[in-house]
Amino acid sequence: MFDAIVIGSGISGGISAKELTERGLKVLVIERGRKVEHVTDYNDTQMPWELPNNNEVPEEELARDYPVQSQCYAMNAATKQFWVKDSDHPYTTPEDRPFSWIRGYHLGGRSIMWGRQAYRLSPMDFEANAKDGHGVDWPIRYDDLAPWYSHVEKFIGVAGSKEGLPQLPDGEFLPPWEMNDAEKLFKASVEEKFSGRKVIIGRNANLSVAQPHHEELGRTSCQNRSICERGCSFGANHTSLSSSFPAAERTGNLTIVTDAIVHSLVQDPATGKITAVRVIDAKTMEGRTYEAKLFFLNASTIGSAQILLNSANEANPRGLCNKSDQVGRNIMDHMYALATAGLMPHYPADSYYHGRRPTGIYIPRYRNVTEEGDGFVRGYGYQGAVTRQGGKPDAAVGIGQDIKDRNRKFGPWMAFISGFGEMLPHPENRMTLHQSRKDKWGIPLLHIDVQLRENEKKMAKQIQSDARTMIEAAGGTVVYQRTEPGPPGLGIHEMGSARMGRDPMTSVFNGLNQAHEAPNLFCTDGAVMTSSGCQNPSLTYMAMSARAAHNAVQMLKEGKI
Amino acid sequence: MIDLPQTDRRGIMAGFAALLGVAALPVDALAAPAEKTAPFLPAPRFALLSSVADTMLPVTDTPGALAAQVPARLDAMLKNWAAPATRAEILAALDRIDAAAKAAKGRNFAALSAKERETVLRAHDAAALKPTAPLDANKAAFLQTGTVPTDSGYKRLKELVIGLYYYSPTGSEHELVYDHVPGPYQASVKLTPKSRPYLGLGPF
Repeated sequence: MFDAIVIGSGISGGISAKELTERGLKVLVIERGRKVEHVTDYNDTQMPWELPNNNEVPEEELARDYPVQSQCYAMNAATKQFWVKDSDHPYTTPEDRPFSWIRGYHLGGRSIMWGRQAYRLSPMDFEANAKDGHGVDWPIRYDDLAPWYSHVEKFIGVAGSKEGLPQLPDGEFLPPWEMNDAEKLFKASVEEKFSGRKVIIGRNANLSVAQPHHEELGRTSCQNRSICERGCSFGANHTSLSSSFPAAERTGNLTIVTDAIVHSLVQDPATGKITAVRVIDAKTMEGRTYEAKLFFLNASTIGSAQILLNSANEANPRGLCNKSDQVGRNIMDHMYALATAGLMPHYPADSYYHGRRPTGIYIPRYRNVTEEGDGFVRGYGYQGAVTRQGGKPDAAVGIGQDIKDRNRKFGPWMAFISGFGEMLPHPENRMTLHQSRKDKWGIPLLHIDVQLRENEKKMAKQIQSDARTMIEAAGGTVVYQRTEPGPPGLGIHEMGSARMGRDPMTSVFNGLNQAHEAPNLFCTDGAVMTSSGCQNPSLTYMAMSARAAHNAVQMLKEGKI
Repeated sequence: MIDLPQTDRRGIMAGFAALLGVAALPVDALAAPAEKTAPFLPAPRFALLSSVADTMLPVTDTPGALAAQVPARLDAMLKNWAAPATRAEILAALDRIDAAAKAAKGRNFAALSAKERETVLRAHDAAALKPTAPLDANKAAFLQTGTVPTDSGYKRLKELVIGLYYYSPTGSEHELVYDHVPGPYQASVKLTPKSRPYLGLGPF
């Protein structure tokens, strides 16, 4: 028997395992996908021409096996190994309401391909539901999580600038990346013309300057390649493989099993405690169980809720820990793909930069902070960059020397900003177990029914009108603007499927990330998010993982669970 | 501002290898391997593809598409990457160039002199890429700007030829440098008349 089992090896499971093993627990991490070896399994040393088909995945294979995953910008031949085959892992949605479930089943999960943007939620985010009445109140406040944000930031390494903004608290930062000359001009224009709006450098979990505790784990400073999603042999971005598992392994307390699909949890009806995890071997299809005293659900927002729903028994016909009927409900994402781009003809023609910086610029939320939103609650931030045109082969009119001459030249600067809008928790944005269809391992498929609603639609309009206004105010001419957000899920920030709350009748986990109905079960992935904020959420999952591990071990030692 | 650095790509790759403790990183592979297998396309079509690529990107002060093995690499992509509809679209675009040659000069495109090919392809290129409508950003690739061309098959063909040229050891050595391991980020670099953009990667 293990002291603890962590289900899932992604960004939250990695931190759970690290924190639990460092506190002396013998921990088993269960990963449903295959083993991936840090460095040796990455394709990050290949030059572009060494990748098959100019780094394109064959079209028929893409259409057959990756119709959903191929919607993600980071999917290509070099990263193909990290995305699930949709053909092997189907789910259903209503025909007119697509949901893009972007995922990878392998050791490290999406921590290998994540976008590395690392922002804290703010006090106003933890108070939002209570103030405007959507969803239920968070059972914690910012101050509960603040020390754990610091703890995690120091460990993973987050580069960023201190800005003193109440809506985007500062953290324990490595030196920030620098804005280029055009971005500095864009920042000056926006901040001068829109009081209360800020343009800052993106905060990212790449080692701008590796510290000794990073180097102890074999990590080195970032080389500005921006091929992070292939896996980084420098270990310069935080992933479970580069960072969390090496830290956990050096305790001698970590065991990892891969190709083990968690089917369900076993609960002792007398005590309410979870006693075991039922697993199906992904290759042999054989079933087995693993027992422990403590269980951490880190299977991702949808995966963790799926396990709870599939753990239904006679006493819990709706699924485990689901007396509230909130398991599978309130699914949120961030509105995504609301991008606007403009040419900036007045920006300096003699300036350039060197290196593919692994972050961009960020415009923290200002709507319903310093400026009212136009008929909606909550708000949005923007991610983007101002880059010099050129360096992307241009096939415009002309042949021969014309092509070579044109491509040797620098084009104008182009600013692009893309909004990330907060979605409200809505009980009918939900996932359920399919009534009849099962996957190849006999687990019911999921039916996911999520849609953008009135608040989001109003917000999307202002995301785009504000973007246009800011680019034009900075002297730009808009040349590209989407009007429609991408389908829910494509933000890859899905959250909320088993929310935290104070009341067991309206929530699944309490303020310690402990299940109301199973005292030794903790969940610290996106499932527990009571609201979504508009900030990229992975840092919050990691901070909750560290905090919950600390408290769970304390309770275990005190014999409370 | 600082001056644009001279990049020694082989040196950087060797340094990368040393850093990782790996002996056989693709330093030697900077020269593209020669295609040993027979072309996927029948000989006349392969000749047409080669002559089109050579006309789009001929030898000038720098090597052209043939030195970068663009025809062989595109031939391999037509075999290994393209779905039947894409393959048909690209081959049809090639055939239209051949038809234009026959109409203008009475011979196949591949049989024309270099100057004749340039004349035919330049006219065909301008007509094929003539805009018909603005791109719908909701349907276009992320941050893709521009217009819908008259002949989308030709545009696709041209993008492939040009992309394969620049993303090749030859293109990177003689035209736009692809810097695999840039090292420290330099936020402000002063351009000189000799400066060229670095070859980019990805949608951003």
